[in-house]
Amino acid sequence: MLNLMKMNLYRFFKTRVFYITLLITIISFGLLSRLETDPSSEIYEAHVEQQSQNEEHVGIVATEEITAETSLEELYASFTASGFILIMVGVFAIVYTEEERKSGFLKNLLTTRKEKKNIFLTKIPVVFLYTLIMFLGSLLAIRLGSLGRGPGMYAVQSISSLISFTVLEVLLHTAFGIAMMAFYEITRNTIIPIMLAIFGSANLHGMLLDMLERKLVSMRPSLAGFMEKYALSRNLIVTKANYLGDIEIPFSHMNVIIVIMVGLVIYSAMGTLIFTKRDTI
Amino acid sequence: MKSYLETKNLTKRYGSFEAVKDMNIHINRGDIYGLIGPNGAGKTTLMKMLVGFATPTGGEVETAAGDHYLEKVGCLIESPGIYGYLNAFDNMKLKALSMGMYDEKEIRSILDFVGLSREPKKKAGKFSLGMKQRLGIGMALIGSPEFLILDEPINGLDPQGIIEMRELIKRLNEEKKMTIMISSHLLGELQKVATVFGIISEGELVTEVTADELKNSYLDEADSLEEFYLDIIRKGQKKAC
Repeated sequence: MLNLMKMNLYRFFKTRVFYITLLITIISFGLLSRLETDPSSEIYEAHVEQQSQNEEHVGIVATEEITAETSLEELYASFTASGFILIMVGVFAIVYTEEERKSGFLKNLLTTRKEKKNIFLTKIPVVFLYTLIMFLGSLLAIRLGSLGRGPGMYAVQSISSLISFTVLEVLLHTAFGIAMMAFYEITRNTIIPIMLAIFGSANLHGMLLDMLERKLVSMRPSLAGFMEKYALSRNLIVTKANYLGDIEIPFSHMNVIIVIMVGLVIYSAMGTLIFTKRDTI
Repeated sequence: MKSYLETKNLTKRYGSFEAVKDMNIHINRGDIYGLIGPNGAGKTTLMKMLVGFATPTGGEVETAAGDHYLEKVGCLIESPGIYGYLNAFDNMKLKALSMGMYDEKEIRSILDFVGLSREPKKKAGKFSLGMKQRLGIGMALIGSPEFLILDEPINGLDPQGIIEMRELIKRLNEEKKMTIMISSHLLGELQKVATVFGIISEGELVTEVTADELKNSYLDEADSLEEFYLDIIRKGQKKAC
C-alpha cells in the first residue's frame, strides 16, 4: 500500500491538471480579493450586499459588510463558500482517476497487485493533499490580494479558528472528491461525475432533498422534530461546512466531523467495492 | 505439474455471450506460445484472465509459479499503459515505485535493452507506435517477470518496427529465459518467433501444435502456419455447415 502511495504522490506532482487548477485558483482569488477589498470598486459594493445575507461558517461568521474590522478568515470563508474549490477538487479527483484508466497505466498496476482495493484507496491521500494545497494557495492569494489596504485591515484575528476552519473544509472537500472518484468508477465516464460535481458544489442535491423532506413533513407533521435535527439535506451529504446549519459553534464542529467521517467511510467503501467487484479493464 | 501454465475449463461469459468456453491450454517453461484466431475469437479475453484483469466465470488457471503467480507476470495487453505527458523514465519509475522496486540503474538498463535510452527527455505521447510498444514491454520487464504476455505487439508497426520487435522478443526468450505468450494476426511473423501455437476460434481452443510438428507436416515450411491455420478454419466452417 505504501508503495502505491509513493507512486501516486510522484505522479501527483507530475500531473499538469494540478498546476493548472492551482494557478487558475490563485490568480482568480488573488484578483478578486484585490477588487473586493478596494472600496472604490463595484465588486466591493456587490460583495457587501452579498455578505449582508450573513452566511455562517464553522467557527467563522462572515460580517455583514467589509470594514476595517473584517478579518482575513472572514474574507477567506466567503471565498471558499463560493464552491469554486469544491468543483476543482471534484474535477481533479475525476481526471486523476480517469487518467490512470484511459492511459492504460492501470493495467500495469493490476499485474502486480492482489489487493485491488489499494489501487483505489491510495488515491485518497492525493485528493487530500490536492485539497490542502488548494486551500493554502487560496489563503495566500487572498492575503496577497488584500495587502496594502490600510493598517490592520484583513488581518488574521484568530489563528485557531482559521486552522480549524481550514482542516474541516479540507476534509469535507476530500470526502466530496472521493465521492466523485466513486461515481467515476460507477459510470467509467467523466461527463456524468463532472456534472454531479457541479450540481454538488451548488448544493442542488441538498435543495432537492430539502424539498422532499418538507413534503414528507407536510404529509406527516409528527416528523417535524426529527427532521429539524436529522434531515439528510442538512447533514449526511453536505459538501461545505456552511450548509451544516446555524447551531452553536462547538456542536457545529462535532456535526461537521460526523459528516466528514461518514462521508469518508461511505464514499471510500462504495468506490472500493465497485472497483474490486467489476472487471477492471 | 508438467507445464508452466495450464488452464482448466477456463470460461468467461458476458451476459449470455460466452467469450471463452472451457479453454484448456498448456504452456511449457521457455515456450514462445503463439496465440492465433480470428477477430473476436477470445484471444484478448483469455489473456486478460491470465493476468487478472478479468475474473473467469468458470474454470481455473494453474501455474508452476505458485501463489505469487501474478507478481511474476509482465504484460502488454491491447496497448501500452503509459502516461503521454511523462517521459519513458518517469513512466518506468512509476511502475517500479508501485512495486517497491525502484532502482534507477535497473530502469536505465531496461530502457537500454528495449532501445529507448537515447531519448531521455522526449514525452511518451510523442513516441512512434513502435517506441510506445517497446516502452510498454520495458514496463512489463520491471521486476524481472518470468512470464510475458503480449497482445498483438506488432500491430500497426512499420517493417523496421516489426523487425526490432521480433529481435526483442527473441532476446527476451533467449537472454532473460522468459516464457512468452504472444498473439498476432501476422502469421508469417509469428512463425519466425513462436515455438508452439494455439489456435482458437469462437472462444474454443481448436488445437495446439509445436513449430517442429508444423515443419514436418508441410512441404513449404515458410507458409506452413498459414496453410495449417486456413485448413483448421475451413474444417471448422464445414463442420458448422
